[in-house]
Amino acid sequence: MSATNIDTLLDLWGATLYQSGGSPPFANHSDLYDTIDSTLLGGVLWENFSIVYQGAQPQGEGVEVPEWMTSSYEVWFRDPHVLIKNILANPDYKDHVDYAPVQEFGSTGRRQYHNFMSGDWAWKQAVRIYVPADLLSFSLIYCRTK
Amino acid sequence: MFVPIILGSDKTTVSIATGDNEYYPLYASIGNVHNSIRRAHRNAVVLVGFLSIAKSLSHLMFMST
Repeated sequence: MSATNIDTLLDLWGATLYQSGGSPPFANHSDLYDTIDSTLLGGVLWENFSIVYQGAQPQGEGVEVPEWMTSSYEVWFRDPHVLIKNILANPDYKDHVDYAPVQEFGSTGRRQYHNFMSGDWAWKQAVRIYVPADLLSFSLIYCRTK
Repeated sequence: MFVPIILGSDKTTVSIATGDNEYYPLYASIGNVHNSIRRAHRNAVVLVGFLSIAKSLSHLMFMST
């Protein structure tokens, strides 16, 4: 629905409530948008910033600068740390979470793989010592020591 | 505690009245949660952020320069 239509609808809504002294839920479209923007979804607020390319641009007569070099791009995000903590804190998952890597073996002694933490990669992360060369792995792993 | 982070992304195109907008959503989950839960859409995979690319806006800026 367009901003104009929202304003019209809210005006009509307000008119029907005029006699009873009530007021519509939002004053106008800006009020509605502000309410949506400040709504906490899953308890974590959305944040945003803009990015623009700042590197070298092609120079010279008649040379076209690609549009992406001058455009501004919006990035919206929520604090990943809080999101991850929320997943960990969700009581719905209490019987479906591995708190440490596991190795499971069947009755015949054969290794059984079920979930992420039963895999070799997870196991290796837990039994190795990190050196600077492992920085790449670090960037994909969130480690918290209690 | 060891918490492996799983990230994923996939380009999504959303059409609205003013033209196509492209979004690159970034999803996150953790390896601790069992696959059954992650696949059950019970918020074990969350939207961390997205990069919006307004194609129509970029095009207009290109035209005017």
